[in-house]
Amino acid sequence: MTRRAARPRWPQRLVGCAVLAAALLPARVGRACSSCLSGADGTREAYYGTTLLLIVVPFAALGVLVFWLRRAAQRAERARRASTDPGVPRARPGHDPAFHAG
Amino acid sequence: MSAPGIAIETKPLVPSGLLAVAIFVASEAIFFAALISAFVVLRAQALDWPPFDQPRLPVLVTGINTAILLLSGCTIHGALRSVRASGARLTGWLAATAVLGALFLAIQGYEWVRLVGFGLTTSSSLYGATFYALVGAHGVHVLAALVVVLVVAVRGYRGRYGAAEHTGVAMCHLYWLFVVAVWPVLYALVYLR
Repeated sequence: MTRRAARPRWPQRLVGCAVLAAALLPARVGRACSSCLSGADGTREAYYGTTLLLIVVPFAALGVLVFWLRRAAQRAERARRASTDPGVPRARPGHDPAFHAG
Repeated sequence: MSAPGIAIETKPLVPSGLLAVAIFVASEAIFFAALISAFVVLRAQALDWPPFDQPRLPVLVTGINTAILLLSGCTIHGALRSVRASGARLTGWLAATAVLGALFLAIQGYEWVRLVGFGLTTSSSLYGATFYALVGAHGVHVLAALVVVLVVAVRGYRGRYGAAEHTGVAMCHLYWLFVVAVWPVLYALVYLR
């Protein structure tokens, strides 16, 4: 079995680059979005803004929940310390830290 | 380290019911964010908003109605404070909340009947469809919260809640406050802009 001599590839690459340049250089900026019916500024801003809102709200909700639980844990810890350490002021009667977490 | 065979009574950090309502409220916040997003995008795409042949929304009456709902947020907070203290005036605060919530729904309903009479329906335009979807979804939530408040009020009247145990009131309080907090956002978005 004989191997064919390797040909230089640069002419093919040059043609490829030329075709790519011919396709890209005359192109204008295109805006395509399945949700936007127009390319108006107001629509784009609304679309971007609501996308941001839908990203932020779940994280914010989760963050508030975590913050709330953490605060409840801190209050419970303070109440536990107050019940064991006589130097720490005790909680009011009927004051349950869990209900004051929110 | 505890000795084997000795049970240690542990109290949950937050009552399970209250945590469940908090998670539910978080999911509801995402639900309303999705509705608001749809409304904002559809309005931005519209050529004229509101359409010239559609009736204008009652801004002043709904503004007063907003104040009524905000006031109900204060009364439900009063209910939680009273049950934390002694529970003596719990039923009164809850009854006041229920009356204000019912008044809010009654005024909303009356305005909707008028708007339908003027030709604003779910099928009249995209404006009408988004209006009833957004404000209607909130109305359904207020109705559900009102039922919860009434149930909690009846249980409170029967002496089920006290300073030591008032998870039901705390759950009701959280849900009602969410319903109250969402409304000014919707009012500003739908009625004022």
